[in-house]
Amino acid sequence: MFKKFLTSTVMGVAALGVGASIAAADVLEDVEDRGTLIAGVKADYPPFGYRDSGGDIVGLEIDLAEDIAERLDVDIELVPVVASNRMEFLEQGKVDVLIATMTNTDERAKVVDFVEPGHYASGTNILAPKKAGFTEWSDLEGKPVCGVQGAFYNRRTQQDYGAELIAFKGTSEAYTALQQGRCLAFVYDDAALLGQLENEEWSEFEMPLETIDESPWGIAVAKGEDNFREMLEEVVIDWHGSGTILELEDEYGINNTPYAKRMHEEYKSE
Amino acid sequence: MSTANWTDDQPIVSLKDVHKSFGDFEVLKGISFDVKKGEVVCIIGPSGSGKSTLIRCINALTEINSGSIKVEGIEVNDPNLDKLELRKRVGMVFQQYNLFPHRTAIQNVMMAPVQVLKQPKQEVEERAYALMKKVRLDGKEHSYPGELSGGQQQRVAIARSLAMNPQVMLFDEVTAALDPETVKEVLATIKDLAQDGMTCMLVTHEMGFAKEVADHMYFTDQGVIVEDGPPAEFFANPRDERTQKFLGQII
Amino acid sequence: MDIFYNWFRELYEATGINLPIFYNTFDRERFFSGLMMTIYLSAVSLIASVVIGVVGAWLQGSKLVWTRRIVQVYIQFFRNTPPLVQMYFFYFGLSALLPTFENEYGFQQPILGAFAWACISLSFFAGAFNVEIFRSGIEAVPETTREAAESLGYSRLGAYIHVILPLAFRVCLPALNNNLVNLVKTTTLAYAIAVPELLYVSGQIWSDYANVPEMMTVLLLIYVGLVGILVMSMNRWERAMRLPGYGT
Repeated sequence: MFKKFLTSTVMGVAALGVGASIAAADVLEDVEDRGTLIAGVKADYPPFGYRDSGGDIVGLEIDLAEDIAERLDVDIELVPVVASNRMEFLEQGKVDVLIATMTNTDERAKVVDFVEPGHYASGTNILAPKKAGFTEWSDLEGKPVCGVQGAFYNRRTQQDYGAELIAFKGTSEAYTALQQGRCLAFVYDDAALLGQLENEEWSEFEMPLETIDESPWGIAVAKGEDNFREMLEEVVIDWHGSGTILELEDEYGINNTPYAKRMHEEYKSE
Repeated sequence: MSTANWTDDQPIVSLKDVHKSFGDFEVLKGISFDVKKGEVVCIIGPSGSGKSTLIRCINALTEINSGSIKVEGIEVNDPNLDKLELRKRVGMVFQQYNLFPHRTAIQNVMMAPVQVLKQPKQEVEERAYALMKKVRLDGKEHSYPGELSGGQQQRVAIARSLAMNPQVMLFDEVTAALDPETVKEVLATIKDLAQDGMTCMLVTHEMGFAKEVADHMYFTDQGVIVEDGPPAEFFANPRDERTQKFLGQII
Repeated sequence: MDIFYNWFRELYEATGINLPIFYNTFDRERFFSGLMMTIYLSAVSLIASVVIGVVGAWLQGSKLVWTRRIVQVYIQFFRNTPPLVQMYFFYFGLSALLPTFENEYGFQQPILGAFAWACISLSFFAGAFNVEIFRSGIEAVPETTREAAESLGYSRLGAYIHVILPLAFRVCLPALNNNLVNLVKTTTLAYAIAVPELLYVSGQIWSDYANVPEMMTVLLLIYVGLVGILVMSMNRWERAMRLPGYGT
């Protein structure tokens, strides 16, 4: 009896969900009616989305969001989001689109629709003093390298590149240890390291190696927003093809990433 | 240090006007007497009369407040006293034996000469076996104190003191904690010592024994020496009323 | 040996129980080095903490008020603060105030590394408890025993080393036993400052293989074994030190 009740309830809720997304599947029209595109962005992740000295949200991804609004000929409204709540913002219709340093994973694709190809990608790199002069991953052999416990690339850093890994519980400890000279480099997410490099205290440091283990970030729209998604796919391909991403990297002082370069090569003919 | 000036025709132990208080309670109220080399002295008196304190003061286990105690010319009441020099000369045996329970009998005897006086182990060992024999405990050398009777432990304690080759032996109620059967063997050992010419000071309740071995008797009460004299006279004709009363009770 | 290692690979294929610490050379080596590190860290801290306990208990009996106070401050500080916080404090805080040296790569490096700080922190932490343990042992030795030693010419230190301490040791062995067992378990905290001990390497391995249940089980069994060996040898020692007719 109970089981039957449960089954019917679940089915009912599922049906409601489907109905809702079908009903809202016109977000592109809503945006045009409203005259404003509401974009969920990061405000704490330089140089991709952060607040400038005036408190305004700026960054590489903000420029991209503004470009989308421009193409739709509407205004832009930025809503700061964080990793733990960004998908809910989209599901509840509080934002039309997410451009928020979000890695495209299968798990997430069950909840939101990703625009493919990804507009950007992050991977593994190191933060190291300029003085150390690292140029290749193999330069790390036998050197003490800080890391964060549980990161999947720790093993590779040790096994393939022969580094002596010193892994801490969190990033703050690792950054401190690097500054105190307990290790010669910190192996971590390159996008996060880029953010650190914006800080004055890291002016003597660099991110010198080629990024490895790269995984693409995706712009996300609500499930079923196929029109919007297809429109955005063309936009992203255009960004890559026209070299917009590479230009923005230059503008924000990022070395051109292999992903951006590769995507440019792939789509520039179109 | 005046040991160099000391000759053995002078008193080996000399007390002059010794005062000692614990807080407000004055235990010793001016004690003076001399002990000659080879003399056996017994101190008797009711409990709390200060006799144990007196004997403890002689080897500086208890500091005195004023007065003078000299052992072979060494002033005990001297802030710069070299305690080792004093304790090489003065052996002490306690009521509770106080053997070191983690060492065998022979080790107890050998420890201090080897560890403190840094004497060669072999030489000390020979002496220790001889001492064990002297206190009639040959065969018990490798027993732990816990395996020995009270009387046996006390004799090991005597041997342990003798191993330091002291000039004076102090005995602080050494039979008080023993079973009656074992008292005799300890007393016999002390008697042997006395007959060998060792200077001995005993605090004791064994009146018969005192009468037998002592050269001189002292009776203390309430921190003063009430009466003293050779045992024959002391026991036969006590002059002071308190002595009479005490002897009357105890014998 | 290869047959033995391969058996674990087959076990994984057959049952899904994944123990790469046997069949994968890289993981086997790092797990073994983690085990060695735990044993090394335990042994060094164990010995150092006992030395601290013995010396601290001696200083606590000092005639100088300030010596006693300093020992008391030390005990209160280390006993009343979490060892994890102490470790962070030493490694990141205190060590930043200490001099650095130029390492082989031409960079300034703190003079003491993670292992050294872990040893210092663990030894002082357990040492603080050991001081108290030894003190209670010393208090259990009758005053008259000390007097007997003194009247045999022993200095205060001589009596402490040859008479008081051996007796106090016997009294406080059970408490010491407990504290040392705790110390071995506490070595896992060194993981926080990246000392590659057993928990640290296990963490690395289970983040690579997502085999948390297997590694947790292995870890638990190893600690049971390590503490078991310690307790067994302490008990054996306790029996060997037992004196006929003395104490309980």
